[in-house]
Amino acid sequence: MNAALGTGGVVLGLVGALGAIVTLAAGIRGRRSELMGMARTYAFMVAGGAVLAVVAMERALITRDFSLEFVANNGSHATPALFNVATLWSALEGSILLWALILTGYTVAVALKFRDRLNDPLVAWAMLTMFVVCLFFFGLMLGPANPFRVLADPPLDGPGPNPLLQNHPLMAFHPPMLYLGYVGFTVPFAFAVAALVTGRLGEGWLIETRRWTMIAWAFLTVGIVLGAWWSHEVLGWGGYWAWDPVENASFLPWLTGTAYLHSVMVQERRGMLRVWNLSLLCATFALTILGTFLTRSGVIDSVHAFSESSIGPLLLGFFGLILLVTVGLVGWRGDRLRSPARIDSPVSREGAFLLNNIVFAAFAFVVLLGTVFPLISEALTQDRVSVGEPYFERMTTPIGLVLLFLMAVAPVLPWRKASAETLRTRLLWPGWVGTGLLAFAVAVGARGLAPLLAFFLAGFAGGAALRQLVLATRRQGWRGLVGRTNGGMVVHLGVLMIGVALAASGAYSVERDARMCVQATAGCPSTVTVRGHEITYLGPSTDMNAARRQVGAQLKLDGRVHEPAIQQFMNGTQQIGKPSVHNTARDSVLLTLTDTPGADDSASVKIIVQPLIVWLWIGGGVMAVGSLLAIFPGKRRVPTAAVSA
Amino acid sequence: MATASTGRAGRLDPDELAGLEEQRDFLLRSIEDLDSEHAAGDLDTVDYETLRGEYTARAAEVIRQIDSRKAGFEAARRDRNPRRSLAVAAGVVLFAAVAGWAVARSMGAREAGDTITGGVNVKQSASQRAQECIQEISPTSPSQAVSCFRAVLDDDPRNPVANTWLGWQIALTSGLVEGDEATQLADAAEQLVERAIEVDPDYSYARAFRAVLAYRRGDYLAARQYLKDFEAGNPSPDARSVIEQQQLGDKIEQALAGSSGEASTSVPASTSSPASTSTTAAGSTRPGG
Repeated sequence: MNAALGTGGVVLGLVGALGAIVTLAAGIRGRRSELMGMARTYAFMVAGGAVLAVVAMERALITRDFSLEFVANNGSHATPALFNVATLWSALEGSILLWALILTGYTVAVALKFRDRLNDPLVAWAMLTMFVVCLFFFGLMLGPANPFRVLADPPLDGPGPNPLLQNHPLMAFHPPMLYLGYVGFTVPFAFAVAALVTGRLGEGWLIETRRWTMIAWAFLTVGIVLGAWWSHEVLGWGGYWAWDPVENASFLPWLTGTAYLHSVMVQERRGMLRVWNLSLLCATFALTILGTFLTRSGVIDSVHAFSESSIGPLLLGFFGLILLVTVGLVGWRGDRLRSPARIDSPVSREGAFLLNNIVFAAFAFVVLLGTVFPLISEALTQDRVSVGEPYFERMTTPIGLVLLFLMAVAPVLPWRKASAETLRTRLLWPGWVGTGLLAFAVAVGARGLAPLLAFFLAGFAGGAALRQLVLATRRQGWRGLVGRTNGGMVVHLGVLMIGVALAASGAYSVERDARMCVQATAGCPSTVTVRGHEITYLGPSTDMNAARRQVGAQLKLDGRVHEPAIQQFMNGTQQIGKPSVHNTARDSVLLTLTDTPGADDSASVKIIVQPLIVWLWIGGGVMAVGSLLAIFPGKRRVPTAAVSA
Repeated sequence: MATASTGRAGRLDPDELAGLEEQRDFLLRSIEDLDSEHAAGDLDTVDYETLRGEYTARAAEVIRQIDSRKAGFEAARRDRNPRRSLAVAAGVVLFAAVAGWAVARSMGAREAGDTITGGVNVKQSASQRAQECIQEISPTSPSQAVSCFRAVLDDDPRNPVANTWLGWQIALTSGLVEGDEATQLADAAEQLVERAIEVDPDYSYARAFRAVLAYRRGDYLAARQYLKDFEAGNPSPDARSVIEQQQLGDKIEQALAGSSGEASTSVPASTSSPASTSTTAAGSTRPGG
């Protein structure tokens, strides 16, 4: 029954998408409003199909219907309820299903938002583009990524999802957030295509899609931060970002999306950078598909990557199609994308945004090159190579510092041209904040050029953002925190918290491997002290339930008992470490077992002390709040009023 | 000309151009409609000519405006400054070269299980490494598995997983040889398994193999006791399935009852399979219990 329901849902979605494309194409061609107006009905039909399919799959997972191949491969009687629901996105077919659900949700939202303008060719083309994307994903589900394949001889139980994916509640939220971000970029992409096709390439479509882009970007940001948090809490290696190809796949559209959010302001204000903005939007969407190819095709090996499947060529083909269509359209419409405007002075708001975009583009290029180079190399030479973390660290550290500098300077710059006096006045405050933070860092013992520079620039940029917010709230009260510019400054504050945490944890972490005994002996202490934190081994512990067996060590850290462990899921394929993390505003202590505690009274423990880690997650939260503030409309600007002060 | 072809704030507005093109299409379509209605006799000639003249004049004006705006866009085409283009190209090439150099410096061979970029550098525990060695176990070509387990034991001589499975590998090999060599290998295997149990009495596989080895040695009473110990220790499902597949309990009881001649030092056919069963299981479900 689940298979029939689910397949019915997928077929309904596919037929709906196909019907919508034919109807809208006929409506646009014949200028028939009644046909274009049917987009809303089709949107509900397609979404209904996706909901039906997801309900069927969740029902199958909850009732452990092992007759479905997906459930047999990823479900288990032993999997706890929350992770049983989250199993949907733990493997290829289910994740495509989740993608389709979110995509159809956005399609319905767009159809409702523009319900009075569905017969506008711009909206009709945008809807048509979204239905084409829907068609592709429903097509995948009827082809190589069919989640409702039935087994002739179903097993009595399954292995459950990857143990790493059922080890922390964050895994229930991180992928959906990422998908809400990835898929959300379909909306501005669809409007970009529509603008190119209809020739309405002014600023109208940008304003229509500004909030959609912001929403997608905010979700992607939250998804990436949650992923880093999960990595820190679950993997027990003391890190949060490893330049893993799957991490890079999510970071690439974030970089181009961030560049776009800045450069779009130049177009709205000065009518410049039209080709650039269109290219950034199309690249962002294309990179989400490339990311899906990287993570879902089995082309790479990582904890996120799924087994090889025939979906790869289709995703790559779709990626190529997007590139071909968008490059073709931009080329075709190139004549009307020109602008007579020029950047009057490099020391201006638009000059800073342009530089910001160049730096973001360079950042994206560095990450993309590092990510795809091993694949290209292997395809050409058959040599299996890997690009190590040092490449990314070496290349991105200076880029990050330049971005921090721009975050300090750009918000205080006026449009068109800044005088030396203006700069001196407006940068004085932020400069003092930066100097103060630098002095504080040196006073508490921080050393090293790169981290100290990062602290100074973060203080400098933080001062600039705070200055803007103080001025705005003085003028407008609490509404001074709302709107794109001021919400953006709150986002900047979040980014700066993350920047400081990255610099501090990257430069000043300490790590120690210790063999500890309950009764101290020579070479096996019962208590060790790492950077002021006292850790005492109290003894082993075991815990077993239907889902897993856990062997741990009770460790007293600064007076509180922690219990890092090694877990073996009953139906799992591997032993995984379960670290214990103690967070304070000052530092995080991560305790992880490097081996199962033996019966000989000893435990091997890795102790990692990292300063300011918790500010990564707080910074992520501040970015989310800032995004929310930026999405809401701010006070309408009086056309003659200055936008910077 | 720029003034005539630009929209607000002196900028070129493609939306205005698109709007004019839409108007032009509408007016041209309307003229076609008039022609067909007049041809069909629905419109008299006077009205037709008046209306057609109006539509034509409006269309001409719109087309003039379109041409004017297109000229504005054309005028906005920038003269390329060859020096600037060259500088930009040089900058891009230089940056790409630096990035390429950095990639080359950070590149290394990718081993099985490595990611193509970066990757979580989790140091595997001895037990985790030992579990990966289990997949190398083979009754006929034991060298890979033995050296793999030995490497783990060099780092952690007391590791229960490595001791247990190295013991089992040796026990399998002992079944393929005869005489003193078989006895020596069987003894060595039992010592390794005992050492594992000493370090971790809860490790199910060690207790399971101890029972199997005692049965193979012909010490059925000990085998029965070890099997009871195994059952009492809440063994992992994987380890239990190995014992159940062997039907070891039944075989021990049969041997004790003297109804079978299997109480020999040769490896009973069915008991030679735990390793292969476990190895197969280990391929998909690494035993940890």
